Amino acid sequence: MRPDDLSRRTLLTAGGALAASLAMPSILRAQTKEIVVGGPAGAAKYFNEAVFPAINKSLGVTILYEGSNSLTNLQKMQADRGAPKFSVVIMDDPVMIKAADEGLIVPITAKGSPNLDRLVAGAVHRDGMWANYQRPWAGIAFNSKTPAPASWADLWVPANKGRVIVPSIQNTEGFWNLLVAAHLETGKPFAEAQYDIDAGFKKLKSLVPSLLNVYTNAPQAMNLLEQGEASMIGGQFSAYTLTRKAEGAPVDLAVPKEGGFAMPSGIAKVKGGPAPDLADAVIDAFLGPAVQEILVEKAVVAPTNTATPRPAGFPDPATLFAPDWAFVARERGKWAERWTTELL
Amino acid sequence: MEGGGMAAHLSVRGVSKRFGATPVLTDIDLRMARGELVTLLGPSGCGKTTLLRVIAGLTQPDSGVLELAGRDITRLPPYRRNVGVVFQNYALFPHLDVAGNVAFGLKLRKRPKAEIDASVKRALELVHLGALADRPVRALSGGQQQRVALARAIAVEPSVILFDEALSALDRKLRETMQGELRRLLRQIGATAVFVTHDQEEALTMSDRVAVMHRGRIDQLADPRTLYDRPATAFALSFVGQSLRLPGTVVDADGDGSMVETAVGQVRAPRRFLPGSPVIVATRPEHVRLAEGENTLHGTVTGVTFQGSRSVVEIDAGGAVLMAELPGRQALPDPGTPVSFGWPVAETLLFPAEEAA
Amino acid sequence: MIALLPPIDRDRRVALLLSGPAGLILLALFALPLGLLFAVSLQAPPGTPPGPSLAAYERLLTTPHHLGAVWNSVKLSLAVTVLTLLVGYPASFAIARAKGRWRSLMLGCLFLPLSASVIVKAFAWTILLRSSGIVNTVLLGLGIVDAPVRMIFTETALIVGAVNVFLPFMILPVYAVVAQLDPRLSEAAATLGANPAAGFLKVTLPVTMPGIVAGVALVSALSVSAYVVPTLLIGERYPTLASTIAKAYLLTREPAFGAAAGVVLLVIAVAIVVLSSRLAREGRA
Repeated sequence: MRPDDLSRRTLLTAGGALAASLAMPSILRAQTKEIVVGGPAGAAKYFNEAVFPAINKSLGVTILYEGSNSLTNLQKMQADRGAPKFSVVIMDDPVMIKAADEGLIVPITAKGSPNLDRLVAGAVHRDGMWANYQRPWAGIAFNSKTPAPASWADLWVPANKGRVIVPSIQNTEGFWNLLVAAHLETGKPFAEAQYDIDAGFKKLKSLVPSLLNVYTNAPQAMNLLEQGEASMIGGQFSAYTLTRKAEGAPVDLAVPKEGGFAMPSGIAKVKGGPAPDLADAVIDAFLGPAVQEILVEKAVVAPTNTATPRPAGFPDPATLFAPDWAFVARERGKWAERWTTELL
Repeated sequence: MEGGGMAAHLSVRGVSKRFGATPVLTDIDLRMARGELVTLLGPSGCGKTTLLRVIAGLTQPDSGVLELAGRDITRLPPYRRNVGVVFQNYALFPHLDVAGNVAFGLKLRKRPKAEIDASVKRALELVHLGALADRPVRALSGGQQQRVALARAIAVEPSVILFDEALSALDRKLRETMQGELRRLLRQIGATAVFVTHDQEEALTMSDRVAVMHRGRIDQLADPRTLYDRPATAFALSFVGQSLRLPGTVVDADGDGSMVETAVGQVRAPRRFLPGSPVIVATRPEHVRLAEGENTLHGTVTGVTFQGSRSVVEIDAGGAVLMAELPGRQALPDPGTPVSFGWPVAETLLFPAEEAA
Repeated sequence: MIALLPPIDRDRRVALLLSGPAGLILLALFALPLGLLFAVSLQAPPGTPPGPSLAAYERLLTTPHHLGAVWNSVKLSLAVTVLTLLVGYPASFAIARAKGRWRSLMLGCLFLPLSASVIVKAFAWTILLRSSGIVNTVLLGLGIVDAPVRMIFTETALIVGAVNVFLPFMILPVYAVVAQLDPRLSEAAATLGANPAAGFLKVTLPVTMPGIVAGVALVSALSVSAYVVPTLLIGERYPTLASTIAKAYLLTREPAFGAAAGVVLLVIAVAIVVLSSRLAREGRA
């Protein structure tokens, strides 16, 4: 990721926000079939270039995308819950849990979005409150001029001193390193280790000398990896790292021998949002094979609709560990404080 | 110190200054006695302000020597020269009140507080501002600011006070009042002062001697009366007072002076030039009478202005417009009347033509 | 009716009338939200009896970690303010004394970077300061260091980058005053016996003090609340008040705590402004 990419992305986002603020009154908007979708800023590029035009072609719906990070989008929904601007929201599961708890989203139904019934096991949460429209996988991002790390323990090796970047615990992918640390410290499988966070913090403390930085801003971290200033980013994921690889950046994503993780990308319907029928149709499109095939190619993610073919070289979703996000969502605030107090 | 006559208090010898290729001061000599008031008079760009800055130490001359109160100050920075400067825009310190401005130089000299207070009080009383000591300077009128600048300069008892167009920002009436007051005050404290001005009236009123400056040189340094009666150059003539001027050529010269041929007739002058020299012949309007005289020319009256104690008659003599200043209430010719007019040879001035600016 | 009033009262009424709309806007856009912020900061934490509580403030100002964030913000602000003043004050004179094209060029160099986003600048600094970046290349080439010095994500990098980002906000108000400074004032001081140092301390400095105060107030308020610059140049390892607020609202969803941090930030910023203008006033007297 070079700075000009960032500014282009910022421009796209800004353009989207501008378009949204200049949009017609709601009656007119209903006639012209426009809805506002909130989601991650990082996805704006391939959403706007490939996914939305496809949806527009099949449904005649124009989508105005507001890209931000999940937590900011949640804060926005909270702020205008009386008159929501978003019809559909795309966020990671831990944030979806909070949105559901705070009553900001309503369940998706098979009646409105028939593809809901054609998803792989575990992709529908809380009786349709939200569904996973894609599954990026997480591992270790590395500079492809150096050999691929074989184990998560490689983050700790002295050769990488001062050259490892990890995501902040504020980011969804920030949990992976804590989980891996707990696993390496206790020897327990991920499913058990995920509840032994004390052990995770203990092991992570020994990672501190290796750290170049803890990022909240992924483009900057990826830039450092591409330039060779950093050697690895622990816990990075396919939708980000492999899209950069596809654009020609010297980076790759390794799934170490202990296993990779399933990133939880959810889509949900906003409670009381404008144009609920269009929202159902757009969600259905995201859950359908046509859009998912685009995402598989453009975002490098595993599909969740059973009718979507999985390309060769993609890890088997069955081998990817998905944690107890409800536990993570509940505890993450505490961890964030420990994280900054104990590790930084 | 040179012998014979009064020892110079301020001496400027052979001072020259160029800005790039442009000479602004050329070989300036100026000697002033203690307590003398001298004006540098000239049009803008004549070098008078540069000379003032050279004396103050704000501009370094390229060559020449400056002496003040018996010491060579040529290489001294301004803060070691003990000069006082009253700037054109006064340059009062806006962050200090009136007393603070006046005390500024005294504090730098580390005088005891009681002495400073007494000096400030005395200086402010001299300029009649005793009541305004605590005022911020921004709250003062132009005339009051001028007095504060003066009080600030005299408070440190400088060896010489320099005034850079110090009165030019005041309106005419106030300026005239200040001229008289300033002269009295400077006499009272025995100050040596140099004024820079382009206002000839101010120069004539204020000073013991006037230096007429022209193109970086002093054309004439003389007391006001001599300057008026016997200007040394055509420039000094034209810059001080009114005059009639005619270009001409010397046709004859003898022991009594020169005969000059002008476009409107022949004129005699006491100064001698080689025959054939191009010259300017001139006189003051008050010497001209509407009658034949030692020098006589003919022309037509084009205008008459009554000015109370005197009248001014404008005469067209072959294309040159000349003036005669007539005293009292004598009968005046109507415009259009042909007249003869004359003046004494003794009051006829003659300058080489190339001197005319 | 207005015409019948004495002139002073009329002026005052007109002034009041003219400032009315601005006053209303300030009230609606600043006073009310600030009041709300303060009210939220006093909310009792979940699971305790409702009612005004100072719990959020207590947590912020007694927990070493959070206190560290407050201190980091203040430290950053102090360092950036002092450095921008040291760099910007002489620079303002250079610009003010420059003529014609040079002055335009210098002002352009000052203004143009303002149009570049802070994010781009932060990226640029990362590129300059990394181990293969130009700074390390020069240091290595000159033999000053044997191995690349780790500069990115250090406090030094943060301060250097922040000084770069905030420098125009120091120079502009100082320059505005310096450009109006009458050069005769220093000359007047010199003729009254002030050597260059005394002339600077007793005239130039106090006369340009309003510009310094404005610059200090602006830069310190901007840098004490800086969010993007520390986030990109040093990251999570350097928690600040701004990142504490963001985390409280976005991640841990504790509005009372975030609001308390906001109020503390505001108090610090206001204190800096009030203090610097008071110091300036005392310095002049």
